[in-house]
Amino acid sequence: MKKIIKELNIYQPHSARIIKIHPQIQGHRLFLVKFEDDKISRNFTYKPGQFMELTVFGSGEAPFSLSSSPTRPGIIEFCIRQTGKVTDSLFRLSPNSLIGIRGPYGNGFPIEKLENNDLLIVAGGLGMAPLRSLLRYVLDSRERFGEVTLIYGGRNPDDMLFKYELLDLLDSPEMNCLLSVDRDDSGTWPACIGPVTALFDRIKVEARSTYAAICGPPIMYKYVLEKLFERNFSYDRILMSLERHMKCGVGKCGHCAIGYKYICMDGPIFTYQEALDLPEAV
Amino acid sequence: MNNVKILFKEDINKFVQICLKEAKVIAPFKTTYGDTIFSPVTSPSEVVIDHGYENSIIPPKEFFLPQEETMLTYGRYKEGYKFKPSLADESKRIIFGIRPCDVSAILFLDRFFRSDIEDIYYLKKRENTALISFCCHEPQETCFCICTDSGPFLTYGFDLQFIDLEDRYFVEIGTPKGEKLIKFNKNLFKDVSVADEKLRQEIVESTKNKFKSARAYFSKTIRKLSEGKVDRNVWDELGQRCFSCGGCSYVCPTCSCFDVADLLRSRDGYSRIRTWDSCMFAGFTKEASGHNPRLEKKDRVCRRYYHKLSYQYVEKNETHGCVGCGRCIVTCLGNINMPVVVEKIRRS
Amino acid sequence: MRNVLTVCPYCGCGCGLYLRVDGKKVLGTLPSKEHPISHGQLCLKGWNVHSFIHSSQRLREPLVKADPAGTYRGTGWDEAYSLITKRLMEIQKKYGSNSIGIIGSAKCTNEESYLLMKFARSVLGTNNIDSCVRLCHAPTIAGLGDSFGFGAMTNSINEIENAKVILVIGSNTTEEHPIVGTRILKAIDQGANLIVVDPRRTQIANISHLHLQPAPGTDLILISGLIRIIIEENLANFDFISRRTENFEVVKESVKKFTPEYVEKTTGLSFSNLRETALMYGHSKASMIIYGMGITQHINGTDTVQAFANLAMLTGNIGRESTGVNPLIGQSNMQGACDMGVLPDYFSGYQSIKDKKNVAKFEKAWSTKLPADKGLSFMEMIKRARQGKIKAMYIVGENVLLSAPNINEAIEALSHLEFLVVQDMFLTETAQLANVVLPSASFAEKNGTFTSTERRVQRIRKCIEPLGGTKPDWQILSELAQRAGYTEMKNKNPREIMEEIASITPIYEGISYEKLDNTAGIQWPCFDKSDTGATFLYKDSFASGKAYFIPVDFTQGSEVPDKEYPYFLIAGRREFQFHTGSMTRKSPTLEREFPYGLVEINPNDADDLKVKSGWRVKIASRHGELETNVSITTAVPEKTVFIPFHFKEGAANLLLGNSDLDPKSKIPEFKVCAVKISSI
Ligand SMILES: Cc1cc2nc3c(=O)[nH]c(=O)nc-3n(C[C@H](O)[C@H](O)[C@H](O)COP(=O)(O)OP(=O)(O)OC[C@H]3O[C@@H](n4cnc5c(N)ncnc54)[C@H](O)[C@@H]3O)c2cc1C
Ligand code: SF4
Ligand code: SF4
Ligand code: SF4
Ligand code: FES
Repeated sequence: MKKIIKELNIYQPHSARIIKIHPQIQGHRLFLVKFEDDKISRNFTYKPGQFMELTVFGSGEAPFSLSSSPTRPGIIEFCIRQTGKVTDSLFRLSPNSLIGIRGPYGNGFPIEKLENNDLLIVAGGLGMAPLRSLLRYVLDSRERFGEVTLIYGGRNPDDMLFKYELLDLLDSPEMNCLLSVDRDDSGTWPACIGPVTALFDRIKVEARSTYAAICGPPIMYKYVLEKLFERNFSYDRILMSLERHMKCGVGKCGHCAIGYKYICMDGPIFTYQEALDLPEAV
Repeated sequence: MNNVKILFKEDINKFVQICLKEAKVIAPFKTTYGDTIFSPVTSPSEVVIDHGYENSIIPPKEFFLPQEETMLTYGRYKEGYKFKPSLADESKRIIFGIRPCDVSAILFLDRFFRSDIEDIYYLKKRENTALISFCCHEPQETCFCICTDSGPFLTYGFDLQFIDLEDRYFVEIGTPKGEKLIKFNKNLFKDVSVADEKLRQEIVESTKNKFKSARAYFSKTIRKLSEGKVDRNVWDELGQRCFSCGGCSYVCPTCSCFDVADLLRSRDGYSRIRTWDSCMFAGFTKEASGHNPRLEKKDRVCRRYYHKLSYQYVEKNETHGCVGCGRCIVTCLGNINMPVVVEKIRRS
Repeated sequence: MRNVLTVCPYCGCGCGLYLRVDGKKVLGTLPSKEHPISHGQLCLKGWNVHSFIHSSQRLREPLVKADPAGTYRGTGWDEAYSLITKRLMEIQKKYGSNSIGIIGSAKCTNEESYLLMKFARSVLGTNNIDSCVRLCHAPTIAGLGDSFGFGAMTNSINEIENAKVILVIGSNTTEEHPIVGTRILKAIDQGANLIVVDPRRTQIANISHLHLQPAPGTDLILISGLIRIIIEENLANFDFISRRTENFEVVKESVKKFTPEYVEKTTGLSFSNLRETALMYGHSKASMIIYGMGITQHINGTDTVQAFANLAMLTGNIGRESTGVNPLIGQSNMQGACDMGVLPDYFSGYQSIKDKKNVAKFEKAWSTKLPADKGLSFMEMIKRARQGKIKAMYIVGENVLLSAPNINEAIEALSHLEFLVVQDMFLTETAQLANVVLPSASFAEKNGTFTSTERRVQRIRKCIEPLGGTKPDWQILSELAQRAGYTEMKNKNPREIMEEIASITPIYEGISYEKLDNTAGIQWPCFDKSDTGATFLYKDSFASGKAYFIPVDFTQGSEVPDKEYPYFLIAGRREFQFHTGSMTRKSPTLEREFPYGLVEINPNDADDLKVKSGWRVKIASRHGELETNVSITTAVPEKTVFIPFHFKEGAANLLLGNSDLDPKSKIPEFKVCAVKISSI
């Protein structure tokens, strides 16, 4: 038996404080969180696309994607949907409450590879949570990337996460922000109305120099992939974020295994090429 | 040769006594009911290592990854919450009389819990534990370690390995940890003669012949499974018979999946507990959206055997995930088990 | 780490398992390999039995209702006992003994059940004692009792392996009794034929050779039809009939009306399938009938059980290995509760209270005067409580509200009581209505015996001391009796209680802890010290010499679908939860597997109703309504829906009526009910 290399308990959460809670759309909130220990806070960094395990005392632990960007250190953000035991109790907390937190985990987006390329970000529903991190990162280090396009759609304006933030980007010279809703009863929606797929016809992308990053509900992948194939995207230029039931986040509990990969370690970001090799992924 | 020794059977109790002084000894224990279970013992008389003793109902993995283990406790304090890791006590342990298949399985788990990120809950316990393996001379009806190349005689992995030579044991030293146990007791352990060597060889050969020749042929199965060439009917049929009891994972010495839950276990706080889990349960993969990628029993049976046998995993784990202990044969309510599945796939 | 051999507290299979104890904690479970039932196997519930023991929701001190709003106050045992004896005595004095009702539990040990029935009859002076067996297997006790002599499984679980034809009817065996399920699988692997009769396509139906899906509630017609076919095909075993039975001619006459046309029309099955079934069953010399609550929980329950008995006698498939009529009892010690006389009309060992000799015998043994009038059954007690005639109830380990049909009525009944005592491990829905709640110890904290569905009496063993503040049920009863001034219940331990049981219960006479400690249980009847019990019953003779053919006829229940309520509802159990879930829902693994209530609907019906999987729907019957989630599956036939009954969030029992009682056994019509469904 070889010696243990690091005397580090990977399962040990750190104490963190909820600084602010922004209501998002129905059943979703944005939590702003800061480590209690300043030293950890200062040294903490991560990549867009990574996730962390949050503990809500008395209820348990669950994984959530980081929605903030490491370019703005200090406070980290999570956009969370209320679905069950842990999230229910999280939603009962108020600012200043303590939670447990450990991570970051997962591979995150391969930023180095993306640099100097164009970027097409396609989000659906809660898929915006990790992609918002990527978007912020890219906008904060704008010079390192080529053209940036975001496509994000929902059923109606009240379905759009980060709505105001994204609407602000509509006329941004930095990027091409395409938002669309199926229906707008209020009549005040300033962006497109119609199916998200229609947005694809309005963009110009050069498949050979563009990376597509997509995240959303399973049905969305199907039509987005179709659109990308139409434009001759190669399989290894399509990045997708996969979700699975997770417990440990560090490749030990076995819950997140797809085929022979562990989503929490080898993912959650996979190229389409890699996903194809996983028997149960798509 | 200096890494082999002879111990006469009349001295075995003395040796157990010495082990008891050195560490906590865990050994096969026969309940009044006739079941064999690994259990901490306090005197040599409790240790059952007669010729051909049966392997335990659940494997010794439970001493590294217990059925239920507290990982942390936490409670509310003035200054907020505090997580207290509850790492196992670090006293030395000896697993005495572990069978070779289970030693191979522990090596498998060692690699898994060490890979990428280290799991110190497992590794700390493992580091403090010596394995004294007893080779099998009378394989059980269900044993097939010979097909998985994980027994009945090992070349490495054990700290000490005992081979029964009628009135004496041929003792092989695998590690410095094992060496130390012997060094303390020089007068008990005798040097090995040429005759001993010869007898050992004979016994190894004759024992191997006692195994029902090749209960399971793995190579063709592995190929079919890895290349996704298994007929869907095979899984359909097997899925029909599965009761989702989880037993196959619980008793398998190489299965290591766990679930984590926070439970209120005492008045002053919560415990984060990890328990054995199984990919045979629907809830194992059910996602927050309600979507379940492995909704049907057949998908889950398929998953289990893919994990155990596919090339992809063999490459990752350096070997396939079965050590031929035969426990799944005993415990499966639907008579789905490694040899049956291997045979079904091979023939499909 | 200690390993304590004990018995699974869930279903009636009676698996032997070890609890793994570290100091004061039970940390794990593992199956016994040498045990004749578990063979190194357990179902998921079995593998997780340890997980509820240390639940933070366990009650830790007696609770007394402090005000009508329902807030509880913890007290000491002393105060609780005083209050209970005082109130019960007052009520007894004021309204008479028969104003008190006692409900026992299928989860208590034999010793506890025995003490409870002694407590009821001698301390409280009433025969109003019953258990949830009334809701599950009363027809078995009554039906098989009348036909053969004993209301119990005639053969054994291990004999199933060697059967040649197995008729499984009204039992979702692989989910409800997994170990029986494994034996059936094994039998099939060895060439047996399996016929499954069930409106739902269950797992066992999937692996059967023939799956018959009769209209719910028509099993009696189906069996009578089979009997007629067997007689006509000349497959009756006249030698057996004349040597060992009586009254065959009457039954022969009575089945004449079950013509193929009639049977086809009412059950919706084809005659050719029926004939195939009859021939298979009739030709084989090792045909077993296995049935579950799908049969008993009907207005025709007892009649159907007796029809099985007729079928078995007709072909001589009784009194030999791998034959017989085999009820699968739902809970770990339901058989034991009946054996111990937690019944309104029997003392322990099915000694009738109608027989003066028995009354005299028990009066002598217990040195007291016993009531002679027959007591009320479970549903009768609930009914009388609602009418204000039962004033007090004493309920042990039973979540009456979730298991009784028509929850709304049961709540009303219990709220009407002047005084309610509940003994339980958890503050169940029922306990929440009690005036006093006494915290009981779990099966891991006490000694005793359970009797499994195959009459196997076996030891459960104490692994840890009762959790702080709790006491085993036997101790509570014994202490309470002494408080009430009854000195004949000063029991030191369960071993001693078993000695008493053996001394006055013939079928348990040869059973003692000495004997049980060295065996994996004894299957009663066990008449004396040297007797090792019986794997199957009635080898040479039936209980009273000959078995009796009982003619039965079909009664239509009032729960038939009509225009307004067009769907049949079947209520039942699912594999990962157990009964009302008061134990299983405390286990994270089990809870995760099956976390919420649901209704199973056939895809075609779902299309009609325009609902999708996961949607919420409202289900209403003539008795109540509930909301639950839709699960679409072809496992249920069209026009039939299925709801499991473990969830307070969608308890099937809200919908069930209780106006139809089986006249012979007083079981309420439980399995079927007409409902309507609307999406919300
Ligand atoms: C990599 C990753 C990133 C995620 N990022 C976000 C995010 O940014 N925002 C967000 O709102 N949600 C995110 N989720 C989903 C989130 O983890 C689940 O919603 C959460 O675990 C539900 O926990 P709960 O206790 O509230 O629900 P529970 O009461 O535990 O369960 C509700 C349902 O969710 C299933 N479930 C339980 N645990 C998990 C789990 N760990 N993963 C998936 N399903 C589970 C259960 O089987 C059950 O069906 C992410 C999940 C993963 C794996
Ligand atoms: S798969 Fe079966 S035989 Fe192989 S190691 Fe696991 S339990 Fe043993
Ligand atoms: S042991 Fe058998 S029945 Fe149980 S989960 Fe495994 S394959 Fe299924
Ligand atoms: S629930 Fe029944 S089958 Fe399952 S372990 Fe317990 S007794 Fe055995
Ligand atoms: S979440 Fe535990 S292995 Fe990936």
